Amino acid sequence: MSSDTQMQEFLSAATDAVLRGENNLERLAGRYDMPPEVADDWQSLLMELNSTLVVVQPSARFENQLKAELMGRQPVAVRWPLKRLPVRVQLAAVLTLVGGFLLLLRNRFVGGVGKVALAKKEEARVAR
Amino acid sequence: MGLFNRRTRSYKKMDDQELIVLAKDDKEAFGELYERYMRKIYNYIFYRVGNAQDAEDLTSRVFYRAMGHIDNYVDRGVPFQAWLYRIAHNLVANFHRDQSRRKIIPLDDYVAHSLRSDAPDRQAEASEDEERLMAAIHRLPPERQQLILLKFIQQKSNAEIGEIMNRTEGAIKSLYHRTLLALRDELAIQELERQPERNQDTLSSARNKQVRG
Repeated sequence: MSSDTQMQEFLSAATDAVLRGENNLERLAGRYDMPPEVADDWQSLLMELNSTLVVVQPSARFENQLKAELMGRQPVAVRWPLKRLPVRVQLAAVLTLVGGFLLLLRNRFVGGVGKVALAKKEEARVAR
Repeated sequence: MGLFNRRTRSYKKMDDQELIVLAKDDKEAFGELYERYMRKIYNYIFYRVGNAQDAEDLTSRVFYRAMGHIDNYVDRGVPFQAWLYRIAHNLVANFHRDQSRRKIIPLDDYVAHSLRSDAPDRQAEASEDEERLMAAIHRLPPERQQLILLKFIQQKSNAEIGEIMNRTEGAIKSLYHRTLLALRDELAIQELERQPERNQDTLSSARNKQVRG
């Protein structure tokens, strides 16, 4: 076994041992013909990784809501992601919606007025 | 009530393949798959993005995408769980690409801060060492981050990680070795950066070594 492969095997085994809660890797190092200093060298990093990377729990609200949405028990909540946006973004979204709606109304109204005016002009032209 | 309970109980006894076949027409079967894997996927995403809000958004997208494409899922040696991780990995990559276009806060600061304040079940403040380690992990290339998280959070074997990352077990062992070396170098550089005036020469030679590596 090359020294690189040996080291790879040792690190995999050492990680499994740390994950199982073992905190002395010297004996393990012996099995892979590694000097004890090498075990010490890696042990602190592996233990730090093990204590830092802990399982986190998603909130129960999120877990239940997503399941309900996926199961089709409730409609996909549009308000839910919107509520998490910064206030100024929410405000901008609402203003854009209102502005767009008003623009549509205006076009319809002005368009309607324009059509009436055109029709009247046409009538007058025909009458002449 | 009796019927519903019997069905629910029988889903729990089914393996993934049986559930996948049913899930094509039956949302309750998909619900069982969701129960089995949602927390694992959430954890993976949480550590990749660094905060609960984005982790929730991306986890939702993973399961919507999985549900939308379950008709096309065929087990060709890739377990359902590995398929979910691949979806999650791709969505996280897209997320980081979008973030980098509109990044305001440096990612490391953001991650360290968010992990401290957002993890729902982590009441105590993360120590300075944990922050340093998280910042170092987030400087690794995405596939190395994925490997570290699958090892330590999900406690997967090299063979299982190989299925998820589409590599052989031997390739995973080798990548893991290189990842730990890179992480150790990164932590050493961080240590030198904490006392820059004393370690200027050592620091620049370490950075050069890292760039060459």
